[in-house]
Amino acid sequence: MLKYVVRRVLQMIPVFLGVTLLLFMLRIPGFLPGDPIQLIVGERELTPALRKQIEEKNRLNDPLPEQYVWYVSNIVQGDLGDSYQKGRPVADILTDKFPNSFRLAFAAIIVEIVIGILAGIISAVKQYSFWDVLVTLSTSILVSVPVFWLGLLLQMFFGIQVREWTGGAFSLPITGMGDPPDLVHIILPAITLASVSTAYVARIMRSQMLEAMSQDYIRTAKAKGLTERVVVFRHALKNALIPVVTFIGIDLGFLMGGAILTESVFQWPGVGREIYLAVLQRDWPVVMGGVIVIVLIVMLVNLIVDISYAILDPRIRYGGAAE
Amino acid sequence: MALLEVNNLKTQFFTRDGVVKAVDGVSFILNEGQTLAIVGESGSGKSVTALSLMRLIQEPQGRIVDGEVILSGKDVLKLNDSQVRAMRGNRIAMIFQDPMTSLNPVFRVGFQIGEALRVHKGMNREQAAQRAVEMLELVGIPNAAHRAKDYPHQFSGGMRQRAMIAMALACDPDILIADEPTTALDVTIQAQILELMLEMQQRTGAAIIMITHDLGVVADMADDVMVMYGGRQVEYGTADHVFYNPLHPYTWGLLDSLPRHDISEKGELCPIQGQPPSLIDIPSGCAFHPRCPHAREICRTSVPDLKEIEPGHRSACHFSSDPRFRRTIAASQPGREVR
Amino acid sequence: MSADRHHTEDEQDPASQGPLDVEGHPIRDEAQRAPVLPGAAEVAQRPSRTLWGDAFIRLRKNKLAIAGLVWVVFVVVVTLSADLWVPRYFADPVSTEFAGLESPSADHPFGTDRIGRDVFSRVIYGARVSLAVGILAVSISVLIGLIMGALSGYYGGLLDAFVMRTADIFFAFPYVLFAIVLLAILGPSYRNVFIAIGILGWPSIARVFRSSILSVKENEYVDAARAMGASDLRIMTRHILPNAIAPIIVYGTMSIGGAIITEAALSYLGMGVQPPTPSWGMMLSEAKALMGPAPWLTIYPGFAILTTVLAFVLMGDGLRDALDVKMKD
Repeated sequence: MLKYVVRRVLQMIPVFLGVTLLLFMLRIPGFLPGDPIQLIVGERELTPALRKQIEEKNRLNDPLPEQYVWYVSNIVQGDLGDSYQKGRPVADILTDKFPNSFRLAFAAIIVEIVIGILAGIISAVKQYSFWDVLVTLSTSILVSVPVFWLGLLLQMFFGIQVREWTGGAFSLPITGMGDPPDLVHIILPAITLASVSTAYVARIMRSQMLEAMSQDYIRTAKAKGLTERVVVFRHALKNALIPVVTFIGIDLGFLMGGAILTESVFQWPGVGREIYLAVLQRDWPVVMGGVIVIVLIVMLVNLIVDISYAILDPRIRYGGAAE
Repeated sequence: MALLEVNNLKTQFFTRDGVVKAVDGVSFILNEGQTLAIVGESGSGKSVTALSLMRLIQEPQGRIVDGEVILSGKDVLKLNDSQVRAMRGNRIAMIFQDPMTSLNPVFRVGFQIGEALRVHKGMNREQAAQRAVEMLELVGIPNAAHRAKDYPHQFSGGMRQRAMIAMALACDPDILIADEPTTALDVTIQAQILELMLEMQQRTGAAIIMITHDLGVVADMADDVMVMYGGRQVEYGTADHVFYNPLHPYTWGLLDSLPRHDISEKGELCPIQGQPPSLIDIPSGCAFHPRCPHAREICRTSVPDLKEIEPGHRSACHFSSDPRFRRTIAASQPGREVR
Repeated sequence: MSADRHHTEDEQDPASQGPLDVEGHPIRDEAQRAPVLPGAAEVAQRPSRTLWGDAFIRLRKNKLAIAGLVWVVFVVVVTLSADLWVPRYFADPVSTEFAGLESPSADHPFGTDRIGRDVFSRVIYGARVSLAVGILAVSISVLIGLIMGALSGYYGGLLDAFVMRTADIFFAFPYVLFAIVLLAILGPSYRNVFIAIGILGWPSIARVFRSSILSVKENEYVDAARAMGASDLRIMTRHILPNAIAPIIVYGTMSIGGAIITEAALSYLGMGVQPPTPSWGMMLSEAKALMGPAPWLTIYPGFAILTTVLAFVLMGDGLRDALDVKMKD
């Protein structure tokens, strides 16, 4: 078990280095649009002395391998450089924005878990019934829906139409987090963000349940005289849940960093949106810093998911057969 | 009164391609403490018969369409759901062919044994766990107290089957149905498991229904034998009857196809020609006629009844009662004695 | 074994002169020992069919998949022939006078946008972009993915490890973010969009193909082929490829749907196709500010995306069910 964990952690290292290398290559002059030094300086005049100063501070004249090492060691220490536009350290900006993204991600996960798992179980237990058909069709549709369009529709309906119908009495907020952040503001973005994933969870849950219920051990359980409920919710569910849990775990990682579309539609002040705006403004340190942190989080979450998979499945947790 | 009396059991499955007559009119009797072997090829309907006894046929794809299964005077087929559940694992228990897939991989073995105890005998968790360990010891698993906390994949194949036997016998059932219990095991382990089953039977007095395609197993264990083909019974009698005086050509074929080391000459294997029939499209008349070396016109046109040829010994062949026929069969199979 | 219960005194056996048939006549040869009634031994055996033949038949029966296919064909035909019949060219404002937003009417089935362009025409023309990007991007992914997956799966070892680590790096990035950064570097344009999406897609294809190869490689017929002296390439193309290709077809079809959504998302964010080329995603970004007064601007382009992607998803589902070898008829 410990060996497994160590091995997985070691596997992460080359990936991390690969990611940093890719991002590092973006610093090479000419790669990214715009002269980085000019961007740092902004409106001020760029004197040769100033240029030299900036070059030295950012080690832009060192041989590339040395630059890379300096770059990576900075990252590891938490120094992600300074934003071109705002002048603040990137790390600070990210620290501001990440909690908002986490909040949204967790809200979405809750929706996924509750609706997705329930829908999947019902769909499998009552196969071919009205519910099953409903779930299967709606998941197919949800998977095909562009997330941002769904967000727009929800905004349109719950934010504007409903207000018209109720004469202004009822509506859901469609922008931002609220000040101070409250539950009402998170509803629509969370539903939007969760929509496609919920569809996947429901589908996976359904197919896993169907497969579990067709296994021999279900026949054994019935032959022992156990009730239908026990057979389904104890014997089948525990087996079926394992892959679903791992999917949700992995999804969590991506939701934390990749909610850019939802954040954009609802103007949610999260990391994704921050990076997007930075791209538009050519604020490369923010882009690169943000991406690295997201990647790290995703890798970390994946690692946790892998480990918990090993814990949940007794076949992996305990070794093989003994005579 | 017999412990179990089955009359004209018919079970069918409804598929896109047609109706599968998996069990087409099977009748037999099982007395306390006795062992009945149900023999046949794959697809002969023997497993479905067993599942039907426990009403484990999945509706709506399958249904028991006719017949009676009378357990200690009550017709199982007429019981309601909760009565059926009270019976399963409690009065009739079943063990299956593949112990690896038949045990739930995510629950401990002791727990799975204890489940039936908690449901049927009202035990609490500790009592059930205790009894589970006792059962494991009974079936010969060393270090049972520790092993009960293991998961199925940590057991070897033979041990898993022992655990399944322990699980089935936990509530002291009157009947144990064993569906090909040794097929998935190594040859050396097979003998151990069969011995264990005999020992358990002695100890508990349970009747056994042994489903198998292996005649060697039958010879070791069975009091009565029922041969099935194409969903139908083709021969039914005591083990002595069936082995020493087989009446049906299919039974002859089965016996004859056993590899034998005691014939000095030739030593060719004599398999039965052809393939088992599709149960959707059963051949007309006698189901075996396409493969029977002795088939005649009547075999194709008319279904033979299961007739009692000698006391306690029945056969479903048009010619079983013809002494000339029997001798002829004997004549065509080298090395077989005729009584 | 119990066979030794049977007695074997051949001398007492009346059949010592040889086997007899039902009438008592000696059986001369093997043929006569066979079943007497003609044609009987082949009773009820199913004819075997090929994997692709089976799949095609099953696919035909799947109504949803057929519906998806029909819709895709319809869209393709409609959009390619658009020049012939579309009422208004997508870039022309309606007239010189200030037209502005108009809700759907007979003249403009989907209404007009802020500068008077006919939304219906724009949606029709937008299909070209979406379909083209979808198909081209997936083609790129499949091409790269097949090669990488083949190298990885077939040769294993360090090559496998290297390819898989690279794939891991791609997987570590959130998809849309990666695309945005990539496009920021390449510069947003029609061509770069499908290149970017194509580049992002190869690891998934490679992984699927690799696992197909790995499972097929285990099979004996590959060993048999190699024993007969077939070269690596030949084994790959003749034996492994036909079997491993099925999941790729399924995954590829569904990826087209994904690529269409991604293109729309990127265009919505302004990183994709640039004006005046109409793209459904871009139309949605223009629609956002006018959500209240002009809901039709939001509804129709989005609906177009939904139906087109759904068609591909249904086709992919149908293909997966049809090609699933484990399913019995």
